[in-house]
Amino acid sequence: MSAPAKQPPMMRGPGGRNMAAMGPRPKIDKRAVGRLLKLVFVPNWLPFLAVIACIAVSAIANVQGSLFLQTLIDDYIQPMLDTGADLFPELANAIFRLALLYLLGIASTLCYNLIMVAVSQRTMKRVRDDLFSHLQTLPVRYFDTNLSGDIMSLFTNDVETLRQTVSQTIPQVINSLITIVSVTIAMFTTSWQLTVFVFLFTVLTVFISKQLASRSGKFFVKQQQSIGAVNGYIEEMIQGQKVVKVFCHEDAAKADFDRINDELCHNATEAHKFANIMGPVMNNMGHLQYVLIAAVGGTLASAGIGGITLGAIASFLILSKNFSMPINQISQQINTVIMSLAGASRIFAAMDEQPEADDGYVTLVNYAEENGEICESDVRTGKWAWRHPHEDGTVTYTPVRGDVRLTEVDFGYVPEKQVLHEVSLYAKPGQKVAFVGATGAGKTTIRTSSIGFTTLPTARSAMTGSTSPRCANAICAVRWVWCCRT
Amino acid sequence: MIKRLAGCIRQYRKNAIAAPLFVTGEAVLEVIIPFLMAYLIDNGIEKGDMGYVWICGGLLAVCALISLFCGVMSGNHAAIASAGFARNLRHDMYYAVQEYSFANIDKFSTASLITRMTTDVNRLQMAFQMIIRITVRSPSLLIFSLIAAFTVNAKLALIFLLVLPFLAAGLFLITKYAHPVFLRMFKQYDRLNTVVQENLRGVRVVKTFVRGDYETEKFKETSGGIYRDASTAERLMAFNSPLMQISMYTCILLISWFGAHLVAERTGMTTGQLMSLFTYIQQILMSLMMISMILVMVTMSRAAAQRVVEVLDEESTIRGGSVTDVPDGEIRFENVSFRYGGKGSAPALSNVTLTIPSGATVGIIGGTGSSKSTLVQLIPRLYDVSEGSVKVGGTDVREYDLTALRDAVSMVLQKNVLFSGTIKENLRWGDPEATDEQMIHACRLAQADEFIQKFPDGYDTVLEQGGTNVSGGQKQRLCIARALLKKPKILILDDSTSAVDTGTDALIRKAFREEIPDTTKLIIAQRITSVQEADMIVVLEGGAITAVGTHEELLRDSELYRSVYRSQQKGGDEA
Repeated sequence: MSAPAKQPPMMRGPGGRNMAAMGPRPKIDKRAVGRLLKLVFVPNWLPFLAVIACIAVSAIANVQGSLFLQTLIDDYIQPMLDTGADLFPELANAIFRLALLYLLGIASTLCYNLIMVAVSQRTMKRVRDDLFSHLQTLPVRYFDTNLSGDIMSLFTNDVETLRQTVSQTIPQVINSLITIVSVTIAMFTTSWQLTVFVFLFTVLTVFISKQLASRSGKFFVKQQQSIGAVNGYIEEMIQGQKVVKVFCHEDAAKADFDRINDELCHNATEAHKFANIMGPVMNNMGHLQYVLIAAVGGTLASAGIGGITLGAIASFLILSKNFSMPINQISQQINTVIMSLAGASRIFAAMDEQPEADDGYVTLVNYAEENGEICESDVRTGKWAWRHPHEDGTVTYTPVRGDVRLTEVDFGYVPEKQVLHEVSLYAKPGQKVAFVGATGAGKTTIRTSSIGFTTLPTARSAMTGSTSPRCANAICAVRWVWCCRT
Repeated sequence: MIKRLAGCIRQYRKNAIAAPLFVTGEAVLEVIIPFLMAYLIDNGIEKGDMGYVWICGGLLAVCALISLFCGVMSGNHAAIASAGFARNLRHDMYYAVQEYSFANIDKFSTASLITRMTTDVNRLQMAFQMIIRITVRSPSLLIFSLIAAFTVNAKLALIFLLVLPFLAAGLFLITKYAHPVFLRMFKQYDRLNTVVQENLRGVRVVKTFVRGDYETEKFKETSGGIYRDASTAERLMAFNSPLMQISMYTCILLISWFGAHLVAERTGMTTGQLMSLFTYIQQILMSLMMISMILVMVTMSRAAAQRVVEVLDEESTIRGGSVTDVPDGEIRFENVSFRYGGKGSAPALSNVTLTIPSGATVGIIGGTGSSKSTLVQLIPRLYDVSEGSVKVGGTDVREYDLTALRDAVSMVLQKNVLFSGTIKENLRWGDPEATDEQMIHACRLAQADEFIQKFPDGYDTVLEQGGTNVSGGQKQRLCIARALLKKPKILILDDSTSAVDTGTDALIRKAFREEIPDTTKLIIAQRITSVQEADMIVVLEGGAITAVGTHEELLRDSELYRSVYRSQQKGGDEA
């Protein structure tokens, strides 16, 4: 063996290899957006309709409240001051009507909050359950090449990121959209020229926020990966803690941990840095917009262009504030969305792992004998038979006897290294077959390949009959038999 | 608890202080900017005074830039401080766990330790960031606005004071009921992690027994538990915003009614003042909303904090002594008894007395459950004796520094573990400074060199987690090589050649005899052939020594040994 001149540094654990095997590229899968939305909306379209209705009611109640101030002053206080008339009974009436509207609004808010809790929690449960049952179908190789702790992180840290998006971001976005639409209409009726200006400015704002979001997004993806890596490292080390202790490896384990911990810290810092900056940037862009509208509007008005009145500018300024507020809110949610997309991408990547090929169609059933014929039985009869459907539509049953045949089996765990070479083997029912060989000779491989942990690339493996039902291996084998000859 | 956590801020204290300072700056500007905006409309636009518009607008733009600066700085510092805080928490927890004894780890379970170090710490990180950014801002906004409201009209401002206790009581109730639910939810997370972990580790067993569907059901039950508890907790939290709305709307309605009276009855209050009161309502309630959000975060993180502190405060049950020099490999057990449980539980070892001279080769034989592994685990202090003492080199093991002791005692565990990484990296666990020659030498002794050389990548072959890509016998030999690299005074093989064929087994023993004659070698084995040439063979039965002697002596004297030997002979002699 040629010894490299310089030893590589003591680096092990979930550094590069496992992460590369598991994680998505440090980029968000664009399709994850659509998939996530489908996952949330499709099974919950009815609750979502209700949520949209509730949010609309709640938003209207809120808007009515702000409009009421104008009504209060113009329709009641000012006339009373001017004429001295007693309008209090009418005012009491108006306040009572508003109170009713408010009650409706509060009830709607409560309603959509509760519905969203149900929807988000149900979605999370389904993602977890689907993920778990999908994992059950994956080949053993997947579990060998991914750290357990990293996979565990999918179920906790990554699924958890979905919660906020579903339960908070979605209602917030719906709410904001409703507000934006109504404010836009109001702005247009006041002054289309200034509205166009606001739109141009909004494009600029959105562009800046997109820049920030893409930076933080990159690090949010890295953060989720780092969390997975930390999870994986902790799991492996604590599981092997006895060995760590016996070898006094604590210090090295600490050093390695520090390395990935620092990496996580770095990614988290960068991600949150850009995310935190988003709020102030958006807010102050809004302030600048305010100033510019005042300046532009004032200039237009004094030049007499577009028929803008001073009063119109004043109310337009208030409208523009109401316009930029929901946009700010949406942009602040972007980080949550990015984080959960990062989590979702990891989850989808795991979901997309190819399940173990189960092309076998011969299954194991309980049977009972009636008039010498074998009949499939739903109850446990204690007698098992192979159910073999043929191409012509007929089905034959063969009682389980424990006949195992391997015919010219070639196998290697990796293509470069063949472990089994043309192995042919017959085990007749009731026969006891022993495997003898030096370590690494392939004894275990023969056993695992006969129960299908590993797919055999080049050979014909025939299993007929199979062993007594008490031997669990055989029961399992049925599911994987990929080539069956009677 | 808070003090314990605050201690983890350490080198990020500057950032943790800077963040709220900048936030305060932001908050001050947040109060100034609306004033300027009002002036801009009232004195500039309404009067058509463009000069005023430019001045006021310019001032506003400057304020916005300062506010932007403060915001960016606070965001920056908050991110550094909170991510750093989380880093320190994980660091401290991991280091604490490294000092744990096995009894400590058993108490928490691996899965729970993992949730605590990731999910719980993440929650704390978010809460911490929230606290340093908003705790300063919201109360200051609240106070500024309240003062402003009272100066406008003290009578109307009293309405706020009426609504506040109602709001506070509501928030308190929500938090109070949600906290225990959150605690329960976190326990469910532990359980979830455990189920997943068991499945990942035991994936071969699950597949062999076609238990996938059963396991999925079991998992669904656990995830259902999380679903129920999380739903309950979040449903409680869902009352937060309606509660805020009730308070806000009540204020608006009351102020509209009473305000209209005050203005219409010409008590000196103007419409403008009434309008500004409405602005303050919004600000006060906004800051209250923020405070309630912090409350939610704190409620959620209180449970997480508790769990983190538990890990940090756990005292290791095994502490090292001060003796750092292990003179030789002599081992003496003096009246040793050991129980895994507390007092009163069944002893795993009782009254074991045994002296093993330095350099001897000792075989330990006994049926399953005869506490062979327990006996040898006492030597490197994986567990401590319940009574009596274990002495190495004439000194009680409890007086040795743990590192010194464990460096001198090398042990190949029955459940040996290889870690993901190359073969070389795994071997270096024995000696971080080992040269290639030393590693190859150790592997030759352990009869591992031959198969390693056959791998395409040789010593740089990458092992999967747990060494799943090498065979059982190869794994055992790698573990032996790893143990040999420590150049120990005492080498313990706990049934470590069970998957190695007898020929190779004999070669390993021959290498031990010739190459490391001064090392005390303890060999636990099932096969008598593995121990028959030992200087001394110990027969254990039910946690007690029943016979000690050489192969010949035991054949003559021990009924048990004889019967085991015969039964193994019948199966065929060594090839």
